[in-house]
Amino acid sequence: MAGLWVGGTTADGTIFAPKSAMHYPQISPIGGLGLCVGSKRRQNAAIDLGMPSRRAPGTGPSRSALPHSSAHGCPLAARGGGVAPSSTGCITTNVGEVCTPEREPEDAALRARLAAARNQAVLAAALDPIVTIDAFGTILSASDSVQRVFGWIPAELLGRNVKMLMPDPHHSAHDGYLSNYRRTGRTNILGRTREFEGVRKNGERFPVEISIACVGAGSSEDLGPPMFVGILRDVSERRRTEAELESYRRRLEARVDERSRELQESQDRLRLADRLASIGTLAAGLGHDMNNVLLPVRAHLNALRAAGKGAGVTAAGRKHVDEIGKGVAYLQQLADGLHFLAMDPEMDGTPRGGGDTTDLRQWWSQTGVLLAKAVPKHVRVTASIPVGLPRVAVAAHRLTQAVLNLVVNAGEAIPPPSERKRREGRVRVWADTQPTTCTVRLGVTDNGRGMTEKVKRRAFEMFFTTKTRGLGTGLGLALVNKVAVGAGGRVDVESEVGNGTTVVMVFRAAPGDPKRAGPTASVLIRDGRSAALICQILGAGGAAVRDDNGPSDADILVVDPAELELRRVKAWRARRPNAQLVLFGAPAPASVADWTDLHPIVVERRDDFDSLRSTLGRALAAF
Amino acid sequence: MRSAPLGNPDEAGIRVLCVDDHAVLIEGLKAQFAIGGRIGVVGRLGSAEKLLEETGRLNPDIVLLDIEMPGPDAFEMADRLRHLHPRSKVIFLSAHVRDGYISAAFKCGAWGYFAKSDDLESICAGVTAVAQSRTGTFVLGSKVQERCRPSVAGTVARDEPGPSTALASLTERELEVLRLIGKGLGRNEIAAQLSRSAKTVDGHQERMIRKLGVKSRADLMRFAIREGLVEV
Repeated sequence: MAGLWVGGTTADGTIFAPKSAMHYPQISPIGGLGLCVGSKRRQNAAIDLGMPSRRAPGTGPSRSALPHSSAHGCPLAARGGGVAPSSTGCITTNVGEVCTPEREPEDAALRARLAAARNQAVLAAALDPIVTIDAFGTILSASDSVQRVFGWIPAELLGRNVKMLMPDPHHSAHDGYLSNYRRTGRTNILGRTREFEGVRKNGERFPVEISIACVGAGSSEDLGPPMFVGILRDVSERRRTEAELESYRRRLEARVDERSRELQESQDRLRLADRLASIGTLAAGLGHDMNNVLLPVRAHLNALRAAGKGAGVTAAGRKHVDEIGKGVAYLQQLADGLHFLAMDPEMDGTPRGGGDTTDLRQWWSQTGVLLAKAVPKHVRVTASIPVGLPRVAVAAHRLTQAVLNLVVNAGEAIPPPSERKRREGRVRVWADTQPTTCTVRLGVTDNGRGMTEKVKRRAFEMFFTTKTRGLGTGLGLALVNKVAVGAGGRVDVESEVGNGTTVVMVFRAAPGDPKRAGPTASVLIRDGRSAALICQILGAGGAAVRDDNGPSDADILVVDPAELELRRVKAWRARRPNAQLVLFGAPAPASVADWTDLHPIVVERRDDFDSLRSTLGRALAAF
Repeated sequence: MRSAPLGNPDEAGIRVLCVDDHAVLIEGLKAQFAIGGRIGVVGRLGSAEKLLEETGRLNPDIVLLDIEMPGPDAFEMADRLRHLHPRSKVIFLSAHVRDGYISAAFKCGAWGYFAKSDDLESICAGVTAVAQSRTGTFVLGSKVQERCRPSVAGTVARDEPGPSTALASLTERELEVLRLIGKGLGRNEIAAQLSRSAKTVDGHQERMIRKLGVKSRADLMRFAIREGLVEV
């Protein structure tokens, strides 16, 4: 039968037919000549070329029922590609299906029809555009897929120069390429795949992979003027995917780099922390051993002084003893400073915000000697801490660590004498109070290089340093900030390039400052040890502890509910409704209600120092 | 180690036994005490290992006890001493002043705590005050007193039951075990030092892990160091 029949085979070799094929039940795997075309993505299509055939029943005979298909076909072509007649008469399609003609086409006309049909099928089925041009670039044929890729209907391209499908520079140069080929017969593009830019009908450019073959080139037969068949593949999608992959790769690399950097930084920090811990341990050990030596030295000096009073020690001898005594006192200050320095703010067990307070003048007298040694020799450290400042709500050792960092920074910010003109290098540690805000400011001012705005903004970042690597840890100001904020305060920085820097820590003034009269307290406990400790805690908290025998008019009354008669405390409460009653231990169950009416604060654990401190702290905080 | 006799104890008004691994320090104390003539060092020990025996033998009024020494835990020994020899009163004299140490000193029944950097006259006065005290006292050096300021931030709400700190939730015995763990002692060593079985030590350890909400013995060690129960 004449006409074109389109059907296909499934992956397992079963021949199928579309609905239209029901009109053509004469599938001719044996008796007819079939041409299978298509792609792997599609099911294969077959073209019936109208050869006489033996009709197969139904529409889906299996491959096993087709003795002349792959079983008798040419094995080499069975899974090849393209359409090629073999010497055995097999015709392989571009997916390698084999159709075996029962006999060779008998005449040239049939061959021509076969070739034309084959070409037509290929052009129709090709996924990638296939364009044929002559030696002058004129488009002779174009596959249907040209429309999908280039936007041109194939008919629109026929007869036009192929350079319309490419942008400059190839657009302008293409005629020259062909001219050169016509003249020399040489070209570089044949037999290899290249990538160029194509241009769509709408002007959009896109990457094209092109593979070109020349029809007739190298053939002994005269096939007429050369023609070029080009298969053009739109690789935009592939390029996009490649670009995405590249982007992912770069992001991944960046992430890996970032992680590696973080890991390195962590290792550096660990090393640094380890080093700082070692220094802290060393300082603590040094302070410890210094104390073990200084105590006997002081003792022997005292003994010498005492002996000198009665024995024949000369005035010069006494002077020497006094000088030694001064030296020892200096060393003792250094040892105390080391002690404050070595205590780790993270590990001293003090609650955040701390209950500790510090008298700044006293603190400076203990640590000033050490801190003043932390600057280069060309820098002078002075202190201006007025008398009568309230205590600040921060532990002394934390303060030491913070101020040490500030003083070190200040000293390093002052250029050496060779770089300075006239000005002396000065670091001043100062303090003042702001009575309206109940705060105390402790500042360190230098006349060094000062900071730029950018440096000032980043000054408190951990590991940020402007010093040479190895000199600066970048932890100093971060620690200062941590100490101040941890104590409920803050840090302010004022700086001007060329004129120096002032770093001010603002702390809360501790309650019970010396300017204000502290509360009076009465401790009525028979246990002398506990009473003594309670008196010391109250005294340290600013209370005036009175030596009373009974509940007086004290602001704070500490009693053991098991010892003192309830009625006496009731009488006291009646006189002092706003005073603080501290019970040293819980009352007996039978009298709990009576005691509770007196609004006491109870020390739950009598032998616990921390419990005592915190309970008495609450009582003191009321004043 | 038997304590070295230091003169005729009967001549001393207040008899002091010094326990410190720095012999030179004890010599200094002896010189200082000799100035006033009312305090005499009747013996010295380089560790607390023989403290109970020597205290029994020498019958001192005061035991001046260092904290960080090789050998048994000083707080544990002080605790035992107060039960075995209540007449001899312990005063700690340490280079370190820490909240944990003050707390432990008070808990184990000591009568005072001085820093080695404290004024020597105040140490003498403290020794005298303790020796003369009938109702009990707790004397502190000025450097130690600095650490006694009442805390405000660590206070507990009035109605809140229970101990104020995690440390306060431990019994004295558990504290001793914790201190020894912090010093790096193994369970058998702790058991030997406390004259308890290793199983008992394990029990203390397990209870502490539960109370403190930690996970391991290593955590206990870290806790002990952080709370200042041991010197690192």
